Amino acid sequence: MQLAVDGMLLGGVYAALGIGLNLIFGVMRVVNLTHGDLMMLGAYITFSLFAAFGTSPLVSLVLVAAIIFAIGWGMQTVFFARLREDSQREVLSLLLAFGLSSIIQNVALLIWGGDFRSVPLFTGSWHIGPVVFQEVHAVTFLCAIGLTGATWLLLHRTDFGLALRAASQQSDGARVCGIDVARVRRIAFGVGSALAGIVGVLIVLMYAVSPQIGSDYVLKAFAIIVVGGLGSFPGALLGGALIGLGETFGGFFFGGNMASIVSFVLLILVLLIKPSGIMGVQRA
Amino acid sequence: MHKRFVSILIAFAFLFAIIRAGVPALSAEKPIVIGFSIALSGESSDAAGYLRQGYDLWRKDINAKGGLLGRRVEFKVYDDQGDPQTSARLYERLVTQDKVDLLISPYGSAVAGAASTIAEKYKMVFPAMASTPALAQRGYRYVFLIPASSRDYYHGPIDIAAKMGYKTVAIMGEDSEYPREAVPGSAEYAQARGLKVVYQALYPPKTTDFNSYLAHVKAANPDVFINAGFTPEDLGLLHDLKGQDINVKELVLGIGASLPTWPKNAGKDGNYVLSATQYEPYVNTPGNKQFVAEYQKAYKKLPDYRASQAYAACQVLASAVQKVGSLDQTKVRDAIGQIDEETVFNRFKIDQKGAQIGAKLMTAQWINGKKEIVFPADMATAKYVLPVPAWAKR
Repeated sequence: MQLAVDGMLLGGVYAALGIGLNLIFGVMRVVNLTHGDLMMLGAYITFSLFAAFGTSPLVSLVLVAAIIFAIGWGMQTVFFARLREDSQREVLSLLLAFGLSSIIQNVALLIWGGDFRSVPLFTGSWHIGPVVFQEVHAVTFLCAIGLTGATWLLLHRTDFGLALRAASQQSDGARVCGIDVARVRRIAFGVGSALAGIVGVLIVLMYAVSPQIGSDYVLKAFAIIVVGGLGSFPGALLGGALIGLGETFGGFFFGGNMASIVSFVLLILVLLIKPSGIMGVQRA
Repeated sequence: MHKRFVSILIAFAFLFAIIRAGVPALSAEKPIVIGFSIALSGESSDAAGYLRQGYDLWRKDINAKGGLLGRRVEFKVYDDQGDPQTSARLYERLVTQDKVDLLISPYGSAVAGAASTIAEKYKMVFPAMASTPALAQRGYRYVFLIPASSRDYYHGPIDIAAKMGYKTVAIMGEDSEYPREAVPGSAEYAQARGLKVVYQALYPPKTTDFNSYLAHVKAANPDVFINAGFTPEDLGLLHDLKGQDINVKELVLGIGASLPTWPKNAGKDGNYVLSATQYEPYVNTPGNKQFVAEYQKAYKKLPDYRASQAYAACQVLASAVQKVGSLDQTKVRDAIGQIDEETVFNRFKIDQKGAQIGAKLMTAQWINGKKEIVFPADMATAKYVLPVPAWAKR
């Protein structure tokens, strides 16, 4: 029971990580390797604010979201908007993002140095019967659900969401209907990035961060959204939960090395059985 | 087309100018050149910086004192980016092309291990910055270790546990170079001191979530918990131990809790945590006061164990060279085998295989936000506070 709770809560963290990536990857066909690095930036901004002014992470959450939104917006405007819309788009975006990722990591290394950092808040836990809920994990879990819900609402219940979906399905058609596709994409990239930043705020409360952690998390995030289904938001939640549970149970019964294999075994199984992901939709 | 040719020509001219500038000008008295590679860029460059600064400070000092064997000391440095293969290639180059007179070590056990293979191949003396005793078990003649052996890291906390009458211990560690030695080393020593090892595990590097391991620890309910890890794992375990409300009487968290970054990262929960430490700026080794003062003046921060080890490695090397009176590598190596002296870092003495047996670790504990040395008694700055209070009662 304890393991199940731990696994679910861990899954929440993973899902939160997957959602922003899903927005950018699933909707805009950009393989955004910088997602993990934007998360790292969010984590470091939170740490710096906390260390310098004692700012509560809940306050920096808003600030981080705004800053990382701006960075995402800027990256789309300056770099990703230049990518051609042809069959090579994914590969080109991968290369571009790889370069940007390297730049972000090294700039962070220059600013903050290579030391590991963490913010020691919300470290307690709640007891419900014999089961322990770690505060941070629970908060993150709730945030993940909230973020998924909010993103889903944004996509399906607002005019902007409609425009975004139109732009992603048929950009020429959308343009004909008077949608400013470039603007829609800038905002979408900003929102996806802001989501990464928010996860960073949560991550620095749980784990120690260094400028390089982005690459570790982005791999996991890709596994999560591929398992869950590209572009599917409930899919990201499910993928996160599956991998979180898999790692926790795998680790307990077979030891740590097996735990890290679990997520990739899941990935391979899903790719073999249902390549579009568990809740994915087949692309035309 | 013509323009392009000209610009390529200019580029080449610049390139040659840079290469030429890199070659030291010949002077009347030929300097002694000491070569090494180190991570100037990449993930470990920050940590490696301390080592580099220790080396640089020693070079400044020895040149101020008239050099080594009356000759100026110069360094030949390459960037290995913390990569063992790159480092091995660079040491090959240092020996065969640059023909340096002496070698010193790169940063990191794995990197030093790779470089030491090249040093041995060319019969060059090599003071390795590696705490893994396995490096001294390869039958190498020219390689010897500066830091204390990682097998012995947690003897201090275990001695304390035995004194306090604790009965059971759980020992975890990252599955990487130093913990792979420290975990079984601690388990053996704990058993020898009459403690029962109730849980022992290695977790893969970059593990962030420890709850599946702690489920076992909770069931075993040990008196003492030891983690042989680095900052991220030590913080992660601290976090999850509290999260799972696992209360032990003595909590030992690896290298992480010995670093100055600990209190800021761990907050109040970091109090009472013990760790093993190789060096503190205030230790009473000969020349340490001056070393710390100079270091602080040059780099605006306190030296850590790496900086002091770097300085110590050069001290030992210089001491042997001066005794021999030449740069004959075999004679220098034999002289090093005879050395038993206090450096700024610690005591230096090696066994026949080159393993470090002189350096001893201290045990530190965070008491009221201050890192105090609590063991051994003759180095202690405070008495240890044990058992640590339960999470709920802090």
